[in-house]
Amino acid sequence: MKNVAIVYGGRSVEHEISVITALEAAQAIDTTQYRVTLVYIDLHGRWWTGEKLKDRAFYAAFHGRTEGAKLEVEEVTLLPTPGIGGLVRGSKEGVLASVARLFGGAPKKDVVLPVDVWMPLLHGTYGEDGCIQGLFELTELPYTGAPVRAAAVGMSKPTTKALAAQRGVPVLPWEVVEQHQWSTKDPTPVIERLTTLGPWPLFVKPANLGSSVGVAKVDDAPGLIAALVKVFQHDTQAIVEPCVVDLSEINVSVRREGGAPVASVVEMPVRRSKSGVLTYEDKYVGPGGKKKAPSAGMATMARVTDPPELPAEFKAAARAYACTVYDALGCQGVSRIDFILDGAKGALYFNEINTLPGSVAHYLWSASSPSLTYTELLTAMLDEAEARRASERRISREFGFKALK
Amino acid sequence: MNPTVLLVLHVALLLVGAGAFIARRLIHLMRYFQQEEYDSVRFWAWCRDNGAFDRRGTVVALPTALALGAAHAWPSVTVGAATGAMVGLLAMARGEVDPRVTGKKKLVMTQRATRIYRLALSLGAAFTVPFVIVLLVAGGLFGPALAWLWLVVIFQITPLFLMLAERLLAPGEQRIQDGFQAEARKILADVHPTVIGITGSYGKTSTKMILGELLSADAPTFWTAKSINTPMGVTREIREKMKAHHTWAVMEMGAYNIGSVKRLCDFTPPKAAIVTAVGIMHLERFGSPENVYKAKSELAQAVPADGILVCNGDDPGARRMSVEFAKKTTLLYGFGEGPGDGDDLATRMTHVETTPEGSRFTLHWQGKAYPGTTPLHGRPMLSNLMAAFTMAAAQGVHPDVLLAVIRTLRPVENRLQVQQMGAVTWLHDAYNSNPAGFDAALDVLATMPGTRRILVTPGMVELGDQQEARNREVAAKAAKVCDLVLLVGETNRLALATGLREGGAKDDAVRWYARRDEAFAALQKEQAPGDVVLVENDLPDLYEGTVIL
Repeated sequence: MKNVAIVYGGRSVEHEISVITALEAAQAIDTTQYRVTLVYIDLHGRWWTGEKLKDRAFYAAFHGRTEGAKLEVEEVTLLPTPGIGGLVRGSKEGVLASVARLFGGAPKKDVVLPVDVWMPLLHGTYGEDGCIQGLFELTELPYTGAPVRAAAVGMSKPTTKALAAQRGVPVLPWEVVEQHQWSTKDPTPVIERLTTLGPWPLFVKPANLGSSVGVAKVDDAPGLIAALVKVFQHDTQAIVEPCVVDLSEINVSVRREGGAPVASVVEMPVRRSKSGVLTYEDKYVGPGGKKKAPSAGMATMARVTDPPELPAEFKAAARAYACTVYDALGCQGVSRIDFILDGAKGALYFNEINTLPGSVAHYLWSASSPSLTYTELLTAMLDEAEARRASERRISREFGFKALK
Repeated sequence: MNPTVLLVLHVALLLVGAGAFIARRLIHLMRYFQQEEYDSVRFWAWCRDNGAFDRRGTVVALPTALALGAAHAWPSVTVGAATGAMVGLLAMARGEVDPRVTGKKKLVMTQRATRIYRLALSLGAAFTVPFVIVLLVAGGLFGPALAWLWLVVIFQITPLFLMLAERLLAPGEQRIQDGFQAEARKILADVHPTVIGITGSYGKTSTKMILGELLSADAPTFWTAKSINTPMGVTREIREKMKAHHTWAVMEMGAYNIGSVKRLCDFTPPKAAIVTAVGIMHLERFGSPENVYKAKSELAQAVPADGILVCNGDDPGARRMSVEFAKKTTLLYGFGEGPGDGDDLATRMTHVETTPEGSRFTLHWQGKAYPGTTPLHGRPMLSNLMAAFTMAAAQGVHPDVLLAVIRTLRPVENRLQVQQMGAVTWLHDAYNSNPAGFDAALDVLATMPGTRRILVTPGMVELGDQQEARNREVAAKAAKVCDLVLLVGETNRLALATGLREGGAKDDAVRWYARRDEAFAALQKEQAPGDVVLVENDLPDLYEGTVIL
């Protein structure tokens, strides 16, 4: 039995979605091969573990708890020490132990919760952007999904678009606004530059956030200003693009099989809001709003998988481009690559990549042929992580100590 | 049976019944004590004005005392009577209102409230137990009657236990509070945001919220929640919510008495200030309009000479303040229809149009005209908007940015907030009403598309000797705008009804309900598609209906 630590939650606007993804995955994982430890990172960045985490109702109660309330979960932490082999308990020494120590008892050692493979199921900041991947690298333990570089590049929309364009994948033109370029004292230069992108409406997004937070379609300069104000409350970079009017979205998932990228079936998300933006509610809350059955995260979204009315050449192009982008970034694990289809022009554009997609995009793989169950998908990811670590072990890490001898 | 056993039994029966009743009665009274901010003077005035003497406990204890006195048989008969009385008191205790679960503003048992309650309960016990025992033991044949009579006295003075408890706890509360305030001062000194103070007889909460939103476009901004504007409330807000990245801090400062704004300014010294109005609100607390002016000008005085002072140019008092306490940058804003014809206004608003979605207007600032829209309704709210705009613009934020944010502002809850519920449009203006606000709400009501216009209101309070006249005035205007008026409560019943009649309202277009929920229940039955309902003002439980204790 291998110990798998599912790490989720995190300091991200997609915190709750990550919780849903993780609890689903913990259900789906092959328990004949793996022993799962849930490691929840709360909104303040503190790490917790415990049986209570399996209960969906725990999270709202934990979030709304008053200081000093009984938690029934234990704080843990991860030290960046090579070979640490797992998590360290962050709990304080008990009264009995401290009394025992007064009488010469052995000092209480930090207990290590053993971990063989990390499975980060975090979305957005600090979890999908290479930060936690970097920490896992330092522990020298295998981890699933995108490695540091792919995760970091994939989180930046403009960087990924530049890379995709360089590999011949079509993208919409874009402009980036850096926070230091933006001034509320005089917004005019930025607004003038952005209006060169083409006629209204324009599309404004935070450059380094997943999800739909801060995304806006704007019809005039005041709308553009308001959207930029909003973006800079969440991100340090904004990306602005022309807005495709007759727009549909096409998503494809990509993973590696025997080293080569393979694409899943395509899906088209169904939008319900009038604004033309796929909202947070569209994605995660599901039809009929919040009163319905509990959200299953990204799997909740209304979608058409492998839509028959979508011409085969678009499906083929999307799958081929998706593999190109995935490879260009050096991705591993399961990614989801999103495209924009301009119905009027009949043109397909790469939009963005999610290196840690909601619900691990398992719904796309179960609909692909050959079909993969969620359990098989997770096992493949874990196998891939261990194989990667095994091949990296062959690289010499002997640094030596010469100059200061 | 042994007389000693009977005596102990009698004491036990009396104390169980009385204890249960007083425990519940004190909880009930805590609501009003809390709503009067634990101010014994105001609480006592409320008790007096509402005839809040005990009926429900006395109705059990007094007949018991009289019956026992008439019988003066000791001791076996009395135990039977005491048992009956105890059952009666327990029933009364059960029937006592629990303000933690009922009422518009529920009793919140904060730590302070719990301390006051527990001490009051102990005081009640201290004044009951020894006296009752002494009377029963030493009172001879009339002992039982005297003990139950003493209980009647205790029931009548129950409110005093709360007041006494508050007084006894005051020094300790002050120490705790001083500690918290020192902590808040330290946070403020570490974060060191630019503090902007806001005061005024009305509009300060809305102005604070709008300015908070506007400045957030520039940099992270702290502002106190809801209408928190006392040192205690501000202390708590700072301790809980102020973060290291806050660049701006917008503080509402409530003028409750002469000196209260000054205390807030010493606590959070402002670099800039807004004065929205110097009106007649809360006149009874100040005594004279001149004192109201003095209390509010403490903010203008606290701004350093090189600071920014923004005053409402449509308000004579605020205008006077801008002259008397002029700073390096002193700016007036307004519609320019009042004194001065608007020539001296730094910010002026013209071409105001009300639409179902909000308002359209043109703002004039530094020689340029900026057309704009906002989801906010009503002239007082647009005046607040100008105040916030002027301050943010004076701080260097570009007008284009401000207008872009103004277009996307969310309405402030219960301050002329429009809500579509099916085919009925609701205008929620339940927050603390004043003459100008009421008048403007009626204007908005008149311009809203709809078939029937309905007003639900208890009228306005805290207007001193002008209360009757002002309520009559707005009621006369309401008669011209509304097809149906639902009056709530006794407080302003006569003034509003008179005003409505003077305004020409027909008798069947005016109805009266003792409580707001009764008015809403009636409205629920009657409402029809196309109705527009204005809910103007909502009085705390203190003012509504009669309390039977």
